[in-house]
Amino acid sequence: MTMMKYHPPTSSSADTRHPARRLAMRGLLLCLALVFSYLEAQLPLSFLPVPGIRLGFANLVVTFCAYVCDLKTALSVSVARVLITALLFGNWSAFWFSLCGALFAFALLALLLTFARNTVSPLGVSAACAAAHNTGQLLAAAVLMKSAAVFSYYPVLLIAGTVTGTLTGILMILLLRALPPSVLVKAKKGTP
Amino acid sequence: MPHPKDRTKEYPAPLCRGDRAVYLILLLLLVSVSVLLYAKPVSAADAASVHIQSDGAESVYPLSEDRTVSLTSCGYHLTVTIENGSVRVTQSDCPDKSCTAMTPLPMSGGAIVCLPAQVIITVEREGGDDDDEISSADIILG
Repeated sequence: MTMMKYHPPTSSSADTRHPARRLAMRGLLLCLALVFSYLEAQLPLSFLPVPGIRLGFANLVVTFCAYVCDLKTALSVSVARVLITALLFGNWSAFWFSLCGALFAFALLALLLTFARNTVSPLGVSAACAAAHNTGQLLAAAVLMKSAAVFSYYPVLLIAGTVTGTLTGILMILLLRALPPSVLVKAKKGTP
Repeated sequence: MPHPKDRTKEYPAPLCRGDRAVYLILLLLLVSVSVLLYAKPVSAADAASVHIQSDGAESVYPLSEDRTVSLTSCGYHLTVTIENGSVRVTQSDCPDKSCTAMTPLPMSGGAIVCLPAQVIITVEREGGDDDDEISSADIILG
């Protein structure tokens, strides 16, 4: 009987220099973001005094992409998640709000990681991006409904966004600490 | 097997100077927006009419008269109740249900918004601000 000899992989399974591997990694992260989006929508948070609050776990995946992969991956996962969520669940009224919020959050994420990567920790980045996400959503609502009255909701959303962003930031730090480098793409040093 | 590298050492520690600056900016933003929005709450005595914007149309009702308004906007049905000088959304079949949890007007001094249904409810008083009123008195000397 012929024994099969084991040949270990010559490169890390997470090496995304190969286009196919890069696509697979993006697909995996997108699926994760979609699952998180769906799960957090099912959570019964109506007992909270703050209406419209979301835990923001999908944003955790986008921030993870930005830190560990690159900003292009983070943007593609973020936009694709918003689009597919609207297609899957048919909630097109929320599509423009979600898209605007996601783009606002990504813009701030890109700015922070480009200019303040060594100054602000993942905790601060998550909190700031969550606040930017809510700001973007309200701006989209104000433009679509042609009324600034929607901003009466802003202080509540800002507080809720900062709290949920802090929670996802804590999770982000724990995640970076827990995952071994063999399953992570090596972040390019000094570049976002 | 090499020791897993602690990736957190590649990033600043939590609550570093940058994080504190971020939280400070968020706090300043919160305070400034709150002051702009709620510095002049509309009191029940001044409030005069309820404006309901939905589906591009606007309906106006006097705040002093109790009534229940049923409206349909963007496929969602809402019930707005005007009672005892305040207005609130008592029923909504939107997926969010945040509009039913919002503080009744005019105590909040802001607006009730239902984003899925694209409905905005505000309370506006008749006439101008008190600051614009000029009281005149005829003084007769002699």
